[in-house]
Parts: sequence; C-alpha cells; structure tokens
Amino acid sequence: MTAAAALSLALVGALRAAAEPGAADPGLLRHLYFVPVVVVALRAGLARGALAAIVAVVLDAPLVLPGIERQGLASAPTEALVTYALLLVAGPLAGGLAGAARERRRRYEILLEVQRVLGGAAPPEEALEGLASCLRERLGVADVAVAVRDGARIVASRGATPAPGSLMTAVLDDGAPRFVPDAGGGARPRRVLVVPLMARGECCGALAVERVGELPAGDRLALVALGAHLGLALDNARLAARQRRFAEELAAEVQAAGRARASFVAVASHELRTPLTALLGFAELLARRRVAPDEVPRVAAIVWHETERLARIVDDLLDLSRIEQGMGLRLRRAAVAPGPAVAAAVELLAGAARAPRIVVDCPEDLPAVDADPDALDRILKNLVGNALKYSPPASPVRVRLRPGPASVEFAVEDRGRGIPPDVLPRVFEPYYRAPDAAGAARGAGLGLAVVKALVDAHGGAVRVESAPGSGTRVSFALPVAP
Amino acid sequence: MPPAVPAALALALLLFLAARQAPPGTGRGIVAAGGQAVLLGAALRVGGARPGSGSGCPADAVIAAGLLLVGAAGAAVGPAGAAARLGVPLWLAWLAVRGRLGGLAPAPIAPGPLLAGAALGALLGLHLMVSASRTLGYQAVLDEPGRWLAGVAYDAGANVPATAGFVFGVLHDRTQRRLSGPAAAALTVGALVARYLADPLLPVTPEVVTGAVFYIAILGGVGAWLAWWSGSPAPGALALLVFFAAWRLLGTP
Repeated sequence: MTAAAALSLALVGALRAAAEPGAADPGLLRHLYFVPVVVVALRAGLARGALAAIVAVVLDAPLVLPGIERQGLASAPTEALVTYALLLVAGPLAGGLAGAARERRRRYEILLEVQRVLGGAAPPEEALEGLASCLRERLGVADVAVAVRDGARIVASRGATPAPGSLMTAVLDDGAPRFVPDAGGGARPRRVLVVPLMARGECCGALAVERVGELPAGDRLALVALGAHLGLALDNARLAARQRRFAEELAAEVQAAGRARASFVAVASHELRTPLTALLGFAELLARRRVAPDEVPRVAAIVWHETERLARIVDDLLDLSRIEQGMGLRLRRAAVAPGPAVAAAVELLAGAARAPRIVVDCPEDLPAVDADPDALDRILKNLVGNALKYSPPASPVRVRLRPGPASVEFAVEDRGRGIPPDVLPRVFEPYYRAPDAAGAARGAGLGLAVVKALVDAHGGAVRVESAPGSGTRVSFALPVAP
Repeated sequence: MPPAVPAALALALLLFLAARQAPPGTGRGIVAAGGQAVLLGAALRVGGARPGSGSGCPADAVIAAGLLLVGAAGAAVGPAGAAARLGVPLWLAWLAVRGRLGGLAPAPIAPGPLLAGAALGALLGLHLMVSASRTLGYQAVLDEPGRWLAGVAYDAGANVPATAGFVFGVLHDRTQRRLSGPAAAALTVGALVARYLADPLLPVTPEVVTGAVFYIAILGGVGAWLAWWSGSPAPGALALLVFFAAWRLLGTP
C-alpha cells in the first residue's frame, strides 16, 4: 500500500514535471494528486491521508514556487495554492471519516466476538481467559488482563488475582478508569489503561490494556465504552448461567417430586388398604358369622384401632393438602397441661405390649401450654409412634418435658438406627422417606411433615438431632399459656 | 520531565542568539559550540540512562562537551583542523559499544528505521536542491570539496549529534512518555525549528528562513516518527545528517 501510494505520487509528480514547460494548462494535471491522496486516505486513515497530502504538496511545490517568485501571487500560482489547500483538507478529512467508519465497524466486531466468547457455558476462569485472548487479538495490543468480582472473590484471567494497591484493585474499588502514559521498562512508552466493567451502575470488574506506542484519546474513550459493554455482557452471561443452573435444579426437583408423589400414591394406597382390609374382614366376621360373646370385645378393639389409624392417615392427608394449597391450619388453642396430654397420647399408642418401653420424664410443676389439644395429641402420637417403629423392640423410648423461659420443650428420644446426616435436612419434606426407612417400617412420609406444620402453626420450632446407630432426638417447644 | 531538559534548551538557545551578536570568526564559532555542548551534555546526562533508572554518567557528558569544544577550536584553525570534530562521534561510538548511552542507543537498532531516515533525508535534500535552484537560482556545486567535507564534519561532529541527541533522544523521548504521540511530536518539531532559527549560521533572509522552517519542521516530524518507531534518535539523526550534506552542496545564487 505504502509503496503503491509513493509510486502513484511520484508518477503524478513526474507527469507534472514533464508537462510543465509546454503545457497549455498544466494546472489540470495537478489535480491528479487527488487520486492517490484520496485513495491512500480511504485505505489507510487520517495520518497516512494527511501524510500523502503533504507529500503531494511538497512534490509539486518546486513547480509552483518559481512562478510565485517571478510573478507574485498571480492567478495561476494562486490556483495552485488553492489546490494545495484542498489537498491538505481532503487527505485528512477523507482519511478521518474512513478511519472512523472502520473503527466503528471494528468495535461492533469486537462486541460480537465478546458475546460469542461469553455466550458459552465455560467456567468463569476459562471464559475470562478466552475473553482476554480475544481482546488481545482484536485490539492489537501487547497485553490484556480481565478481573471480575464473583461474589466475595475476584476471578482474573490467567488466574492472577490483582495485587493489593495495584491499578486493577484501585479501579475495582472506586470504578474510575486510570491511564498510565508510560509503565516504563522499554525504549518506547508502554501505555496502560485500566477501565471499569460496569453493570447495573456498579463496578463488577476491570479491564487492563497495555500497548507499546500510542493509545490515543479516542481509543481510550472507546475502551471505557467497551468496559461498560463488557460489564453488561459479563452480567448477562452470569445471569444466563444462573438461570441455566436454576432450570436444571428445578427440573431435578420436579422429577424428584414426581417420583415422590408416585411413591406416595403407592405407599398411601397400601397404608389405606391395610386398615380397610382389617375393617372389612372383621365387619364381615361380625355380620355373617356367629362370634363367641367373649370374642366380641377383642374384635371391637381391633376395629376401633384400625378405624383410628385410618382416620389419622386421612387427617394427615387433609392437613398436608391444606398446607400445600397455602391455607393455614385451623387451631383451637387453649391452655393444655403438658403432663396429662403426654400421658394420654402414650397410653393410646403403647398398648400392653409396648408400655414398658416408653419412659415419660415430666416435672410436676410444668406450666400449661397454649396449644390445640388435638394438634398436640397428633404431634406426640406421630413422634412417639415413629420412635417405636424405628427402634429395636426392647429399647426404651424416652419422652422428656422441660420448662423454658416462656415455653415448654417436648423431646422424644429413641436408641434406634438413627438418620444419616445427608437425609436429615429432608426428613420434614412431605412424602419423603429415607431410602433405608422403607424396608424398616410402614409409613407414607407424612408424619414428620405434619408435625412440622402443626408446630409451626403454633409459632414453635421443631428440631431433629440424630447420629446413625445411636438414636434420634426430636424436640419442639410450645409457648406457655398466658 | 527533568527540569534540566527545558533549562538546557533555553541556555543553548541563549548561547546561539548570543553567538549571532558576536563578531564573525572564532569567537562566534566558540560561543555557538558552547550552545551545542550544552545540548550534547544534557543529552548524555539525561538520556544516557534508561527511563526511571537515574541519569547518565556526568563524566561522559563532560568529556563529550569538551571534545565538541576542542573540535570547534580545531576547526577554527583551518579546514584540516575540522578533523578534530571526529572526536565526538568516536567518543559516542565508544560509549555505545560499552553500553553507556542508555536510552540514546537501545541496541539493536533495526536497519529499517535507519534506511528510512537516510532515504527521507536524501529525498528532502534533493527536494531542497530542486526547489532552491528553480525558485531562487541556487545551484548544486561541489567546487570546494574540502569546505564541503569540513561542513559535513561539523554536522557529524557537533551539529547533528548535539541536536538530534537532545531533541529526539531526550526531549521527544521524555515528552512522549507523558503526553500523547502527536503532542510530543509537535513539541519536538517546535524545539527543532527554534534551535535552527536561533542558529548563528542561518542567513536571516525571508526566503531562507521560510525554507528553513519548512524543511526543519518536516525533518522534526520525520525524526519524531522515526524515534517513536525505533525507540532511538539515530534514524532521525541520520535524516538530518543526509539532509545537511545535500544542503551544503548548494552554492550561491
């Protein structure tokens, strides 16, 4: 390009010199300089356009200056001077406009490339390295570094965290761009510019650019704008990644919920079917066969027990359904004496065979609690029932009551198999059953969910502590009656 | 920028202007050489070190300035005495070989900028000869080779090393590290034009002054660009040297 431009200018100069002596209007040839000057300006930008114009004027001047020397500013030399002025305007102007258009296009290309790099699902460090590499190539600079905030930590390209007191850290702190005209250490100045990456009005990172040579004010301004675009692009990429992760988690949860519901339907059908079968069998026995009078109380006790069990399951299901629909549980609160409430629940649950296993530890002077008596009864029956189900037949189940500052704490402890730590956070989820619990005892995964809902409705809190092999302790507190 | 740089430029310009007032002859030459010695000494003292690493050796600067004055004194004796002017380039070459020129001679200098400097100096010199002959009737002649050689020795041993070393090697280098490239180039051009307009050897006629401003401004821009490109004042110095060699071929109208 440079050689072609020089050759073209020299050719026009030679034509001018050759035509000068005898030409009728040699000034016309002078206008040929516009061709190489404008072509150079359009192809190579402002500086080279201006240079080409200066070279054209310098080349032509020896042909015009003698005329000025001889005749002064006559019409012909004046025309030549006007041509020079036009050349000196046209070169830089055409070059400047063409350069600006090229620069704008280059910036759009950079933004597209940045979007492409950040659009991938790469981890932050890898994405930043890709971004730095892309910018290094596109901006034509010696070095590029990018650092972004990722929560409390700062992630940087090449894994190099900005040092305290560095330009990067300063820009990350106050979000103001910084320019160092010469970072030193070379024969040519090393310009360094650090710009903030802005997103939603906050500095979310910093972009450092180092160029050996010139980094004009226009380029610096463009880099500040690029920082703002990069900040938004990074923020968008981060949001997109978060959304992807959220969607994946949601899909997994939906799948798990579907599996839990399917499993619940199977278990609940079985749970409902068992007492129904017993009821049907004994009802048929009473209706169609003659039962010895001394057998009737036993059969009636079984029917009562199974009906109560059926009612409990249906109550749990109804409560859970109300909770899932966002409707609160209706409580009829009253002052309830904790000791008798525990004794009643335990008596019904234990029966003759299991009575020795249940140890109630209840101080005499406990205050009454502000609770729904039926709800408290269901809570206690669920917890004690679980403790009996999931602990060895001979091991004790302890029910402890302790007074608190403004509440009474109820705790049910067993020495059973315990709950694995990874399962512990999920035991209060509806329909959830620990993987190893299914084979150990019957259940629909409703009991603890209902307990939590009932305790929450009382304004209390339920806690579970467990260690595999050494037992489980479930406790809750209810407020003292006013 | 160290305050010694503008101070040295101002002192050198004052000495050149003082030399203008001195009667022609040895006295004028010695005073003008004093101005060049100030520029050369400042160039070596400030530019002899890498940026940010202190300054160059004062003894090197003093020896160079002394050699420049000795060369001026030798040249005053007669044309053959102009050979004494070679002391400065030899001393600079020795310093360069020993790596004691610091930022003034970052090794290695690529041949491209040197060739470009020589070519641009030659083109401008040729342009000057054509323009001067066509416009003002100056003819390019070499009727006194000894005198021409003495002039070239003055350029190579005093004028160009002092001016290019100071203007391109120190002034432009320091300003481009603080300002933008175009601003540094503008300052460089301004300083070079001021230095030659104050030179006592420049005939003060309108056409010569106009021509000097025109060519020196272009040479200043070219030297600044070459210094920016190569990181060294040498290509700009070469352009000046070749241009002055052509200029010295011009006779009288």
